[in-house]
Amino acid sequence: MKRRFIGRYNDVVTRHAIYATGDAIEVDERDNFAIVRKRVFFEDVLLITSHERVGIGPIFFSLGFAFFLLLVGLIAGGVAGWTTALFSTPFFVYGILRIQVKETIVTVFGRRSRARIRFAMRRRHAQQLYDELCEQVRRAQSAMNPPADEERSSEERREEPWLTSIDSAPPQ
Amino acid sequence: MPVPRVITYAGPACPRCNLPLSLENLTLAEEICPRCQGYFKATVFHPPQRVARVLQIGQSGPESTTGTCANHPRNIAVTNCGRCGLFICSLCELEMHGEKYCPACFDRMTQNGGAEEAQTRFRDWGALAIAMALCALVLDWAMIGVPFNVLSIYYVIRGFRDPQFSRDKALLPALSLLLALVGLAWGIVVIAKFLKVGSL
Repeated sequence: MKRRFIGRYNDVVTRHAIYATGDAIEVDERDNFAIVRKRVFFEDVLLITSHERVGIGPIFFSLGFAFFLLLVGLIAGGVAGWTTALFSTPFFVYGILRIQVKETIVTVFGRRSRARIRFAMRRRHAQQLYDELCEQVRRAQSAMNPPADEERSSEERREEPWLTSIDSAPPQ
Repeated sequence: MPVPRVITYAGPACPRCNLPLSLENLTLAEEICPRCQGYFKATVFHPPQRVARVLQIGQSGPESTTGTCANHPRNIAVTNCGRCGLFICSLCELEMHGEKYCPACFDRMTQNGGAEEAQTRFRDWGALAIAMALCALVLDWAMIGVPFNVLSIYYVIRGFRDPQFSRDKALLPALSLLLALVGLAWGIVVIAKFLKVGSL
């Protein structure tokens, strides 16, 4: 099945791109000039969480840059100063928006690994993805349950004589 | 030889403070971490355990004609490897593209690039291409940027031909290609100027 890009999780030291396939979530971690891939199989998922938090980094950098431009504009003065100060507006607005609208992080915990996806200012999309992942995991895990021996046909059991004895007590 | 990476993962934890969580205690959809008091929404799953149906040689009965596993002499073989023909039990059986392989063959195929689905490490051609293109732009001033531009174009082509290539990864190679072509033209102009005038 084709991979579908579902989101990213970047911070100061790591850069992750997250994809969904038919049976797993794939996490591509950039490691210099190589990409290291981890998989969280839907069959192994134990917990999916979603939480919101204020992203400190983007707020710090956007507001910091806005204040820096504003300061430069004030010191320079005149038309050039006002123009520079005007350029700080988008960064200032973005910083304020990031304070108001928190980022949503969806985390998928598997048996051996986990995947995190961050959504900045896309709360509804994060909720949709959370529901979609829960549904996919439920489907994968319900399909995993093998039929009990009683449900298997007698022909099927006759073809595999060794398998019928595994559930019985070993010969004394 | 790639250095083995140590990955520390201790199972489900609080997504805010990484406090390990017991899944039995998580029953509600809305949870509060006992340590950080942070709120998060949670859905718990109870995946069924995989049951490997392995029969040992003593359990097969006298009528059994199958061989034993090459890796586990006490287990009965259920099939043989599609690559080397080795008898393998259901513990060793690894399926890929409808064919069954033994662990050794599976490892060899993964290392040789024959098992793309099982590969976990790939070359990032886009990052290589952009790094080379940026180097070339700087080195064009010293008239030695042209080989780096050519290298960048080569990396872009390798990236586009890579089976792992997808449309969302196209931006970086495309940008690199543009930079490399501009750099190449610039490098040629610089060299031509030097040859004409005799100095930079």
